Amino acid sequence: MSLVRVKIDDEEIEVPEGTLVITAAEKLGKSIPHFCYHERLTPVAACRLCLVEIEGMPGLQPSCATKVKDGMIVRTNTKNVLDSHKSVLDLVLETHPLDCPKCEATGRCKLEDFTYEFGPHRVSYYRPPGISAYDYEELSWSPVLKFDPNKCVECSRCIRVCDEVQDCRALVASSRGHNWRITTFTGGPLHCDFCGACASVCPTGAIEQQPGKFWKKDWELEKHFVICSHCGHGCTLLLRGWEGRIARIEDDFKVGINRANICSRGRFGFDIISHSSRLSKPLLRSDGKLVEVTWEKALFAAMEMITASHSVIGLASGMLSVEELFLFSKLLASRNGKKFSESRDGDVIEFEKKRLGRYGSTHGFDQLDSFESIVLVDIPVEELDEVLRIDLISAAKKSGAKLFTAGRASFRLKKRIAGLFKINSQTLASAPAKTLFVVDTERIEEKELSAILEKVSSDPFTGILFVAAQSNSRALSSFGFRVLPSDEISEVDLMIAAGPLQMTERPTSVKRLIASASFRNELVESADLVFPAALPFEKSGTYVNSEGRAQYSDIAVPMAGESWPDAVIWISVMKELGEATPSTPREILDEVRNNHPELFERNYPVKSSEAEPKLPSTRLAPPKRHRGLLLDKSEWLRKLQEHLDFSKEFSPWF
Amino acid sequence: MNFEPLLSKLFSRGVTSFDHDFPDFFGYRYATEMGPEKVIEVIREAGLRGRGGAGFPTAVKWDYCRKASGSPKYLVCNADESEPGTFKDVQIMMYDPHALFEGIGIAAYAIGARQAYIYVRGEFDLPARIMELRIPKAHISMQQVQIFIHRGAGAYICGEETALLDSIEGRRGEPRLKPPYPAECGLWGKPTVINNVETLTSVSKIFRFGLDNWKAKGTPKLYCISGDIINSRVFEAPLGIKLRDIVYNYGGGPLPGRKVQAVFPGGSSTAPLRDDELDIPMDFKMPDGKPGIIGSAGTIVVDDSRCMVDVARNIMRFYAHESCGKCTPCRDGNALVHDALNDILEGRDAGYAMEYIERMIPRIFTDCFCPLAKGAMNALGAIFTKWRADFESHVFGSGCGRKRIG
Repeated sequence: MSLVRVKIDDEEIEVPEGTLVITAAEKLGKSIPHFCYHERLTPVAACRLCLVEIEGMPGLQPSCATKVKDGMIVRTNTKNVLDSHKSVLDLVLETHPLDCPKCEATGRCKLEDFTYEFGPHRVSYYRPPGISAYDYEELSWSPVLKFDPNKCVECSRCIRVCDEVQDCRALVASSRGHNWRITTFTGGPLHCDFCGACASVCPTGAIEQQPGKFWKKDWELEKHFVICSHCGHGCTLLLRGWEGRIARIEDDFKVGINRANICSRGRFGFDIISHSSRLSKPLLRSDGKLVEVTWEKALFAAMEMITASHSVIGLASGMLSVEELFLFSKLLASRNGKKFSESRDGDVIEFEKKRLGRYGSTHGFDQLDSFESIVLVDIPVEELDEVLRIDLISAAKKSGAKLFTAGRASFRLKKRIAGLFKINSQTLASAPAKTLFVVDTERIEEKELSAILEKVSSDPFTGILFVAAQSNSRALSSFGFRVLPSDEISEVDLMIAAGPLQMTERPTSVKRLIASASFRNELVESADLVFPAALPFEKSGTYVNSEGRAQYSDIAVPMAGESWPDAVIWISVMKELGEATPSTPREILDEVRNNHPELFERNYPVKSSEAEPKLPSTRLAPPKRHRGLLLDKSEWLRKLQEHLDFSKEFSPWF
Repeated sequence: MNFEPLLSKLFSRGVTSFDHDFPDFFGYRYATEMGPEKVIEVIREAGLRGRGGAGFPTAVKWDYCRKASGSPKYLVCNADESEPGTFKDVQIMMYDPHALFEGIGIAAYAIGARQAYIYVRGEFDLPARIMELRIPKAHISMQQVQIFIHRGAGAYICGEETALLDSIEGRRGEPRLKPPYPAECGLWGKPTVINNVETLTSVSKIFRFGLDNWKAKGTPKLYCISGDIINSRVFEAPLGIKLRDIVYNYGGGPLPGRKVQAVFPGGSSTAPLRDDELDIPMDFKMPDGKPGIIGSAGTIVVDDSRCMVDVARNIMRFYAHESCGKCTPCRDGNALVHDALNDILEGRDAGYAMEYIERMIPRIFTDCFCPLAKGAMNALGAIFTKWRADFESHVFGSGCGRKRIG
């Protein structure tokens, strides 16, 4: 792409051709106010706030919709331009209530910032007496989203993000002129899955998230980047909280692979960490009942159970981090235990390894637009990986990739599906080049998989993307975890279950069960020993997503009760057993890196333009916040308990 | 006046019954024998410019679309005639629909379109029904083009060409960002030509009656005159006749005992003129090269019995109501200026309202997105400067005491 030189207020800058004037000005550090322009959306130039003077063009031009040309001379600080900013802000403020002290958006409100910088410092307030502009009632659109029409600046960002990015169209504009209002499609409550993208792009406090309302002002909230653990996509969440409480989850366009797309589970599912059924203490079965015990007693009991057992099997969850899986498999290896998992991911990747000699997906999420057709092989995309659905839509829109479905159709993609694709050797032989097969590892059949893999191995332009069901199930194959046979567990003395599992009852052939779990459920009730485990935001770890990208997630909040991360649990058990084990996070990570290098390299071409996601933290958690290895009963726990009570009272989910 | 009408020839006939009109479309047959390039050449030679208000040369538009890559191409006839004071297109649609169909056929042939849409204003129920009944007959003679009627829902902004396209596509009628212009990326993202009803009818007449005849009649144009005038009507006259001629000859002058106070030459969005400024031609260009005053040729006369502040308020009420709400200056500005004019009339803080209007007029004019608010500010700005005494009588005195519309 060729570079062009533009001059903005006597400062020259070289930018790629096709850059917008507002972006070029941003690079120079110049602030041009804007409401309707957003980097994720197509420009509409509707708010008229970003007008600038461009030499050779009549009047004022919208900088958000004008592309730079070589030798262009832009002026952003003439009297006409500044008057225009002032006049438009004045018009907006005339219908906007100035209740900033009691507004949730104070501190991140664009209207506030721009008025402070450019605006009329005395609002003209042209409004005849007796008529109030602020008499609209605040609407509760959903349990998690609310809308205050008075604070709306009519930029239509929410409508466009709902239409262009989410492909949902739950929000529309109604009426015209001065009565122009944003409304839901039905006029009543929102009929969508509450992804919260509208609240995320809203420049003011018109659309707000309901959870965490009126807890803290924006500038008082800390920022932590964490990796979401709800599915195998590996989205980066910007967690906003203070003193260990989570107020809300935001997105950052510049950080992470999800390009600011977060599904409703990721955005609003954070309150599971304060769920009422969280386990806070180790539980040991005595006289047929589970009773709370201390960690010392629990670890001793674990040692006794393990040493007394002749045959041991382990059942690992795909939501454990790489380090935890490594330590758990080390523990099992020391006892000659068989390794099982509930996910088929390990088996499928092992199958691929045998066939192709390679590991995991051939292409990443950012390469979807390089394909001409994408075949969804029996995969309900929106259930499994909602952000992948958004990526598929953007690929279909931007590069015109055609979506085909084989087997079960995806409901929310049905408008974009171009046709059906039956998978057999003949259709695959005649399939066009540049086809990507999106495969659900839990559901794919061996016959279809081998046919697809044959096509992938013979055609270098064909790719396969294995969609992992869990946040780290891609790493299961490296540690040798295979899917648990449904009815073939022979008589075993001890089963150790690690992490969140779907299993609801203890298999009858298992004599004893040790479980690490975060919530009290049926499996926990039937266990002999239960360790309370920390949840993803409470511990650090590395997660490998569907495309095979290893991402590090840091500690953001303190652990609930006396729970420990799984890594600490299995280290402690091994120490109790007298096994040698790495004990610091760096030692663990180094050992995993040495033994399983394939987890840390993406074996497909990485786009040079697409830099690796930059997480602000180092690869290891800073010691200040690393409370994982020590049990902390300080002020934090007390505050957490308060938070738990508070959310019980106010959270709509309870 | 021995001027045999071309465009309005059949207006006096009234609506013909369905059984009794036999379109021959020989203008269309004549054009299709010429070849599309030649057709555009003829239109260029005729000097035909868009009759909708902007006055863009028709041949240039067609040529641009013809050469644009992209297929299929579309022709859209803008029959959303909503400018206050303009009522010429509805007459064509009612009394001479086949001339419009023939023009559409010729234009579609010239640009290479197979489908044409007629976007009819929501309020034009009868014209739309008349045309709907007659389209099958037109299709028999012109099999190259398929004509669809799309009826709007009654929004002034849908007369703006890109908002019109949005409306046909089934979205909210809001003006699109230009460029790209419709000639390269219009309806459904394909090259599209949008022409006014009168433009397309003129095309039909040029091919039907010959270029020489068209030129000899001085490129005929339909004019509308209404307001405080004896003869409110549509009439046909050569392009470039004097505005005074329209008001005093064709319109018959003001009512007895009254004087002409203001004349909106080309619809309510053009700057009004005083009685002593009427000696200028109604054309797309002034003799000195400035942009002309013709607009959509809907002349409105306001006599001296009316309060000009009230006229301004009435105009602003229309534009505030018809603003689509896309851009801030038009959405909020028009409504607030209307409120300010109301305040002046009702004597509430009128000095501040004057100041506010004076400040907002140039700002809304410069900042707004599309021609709607520009037109409104054009008219309001002229009233504000030329009839400032009227405003001041309301601000400093007890008002002018003349009658108000409401």
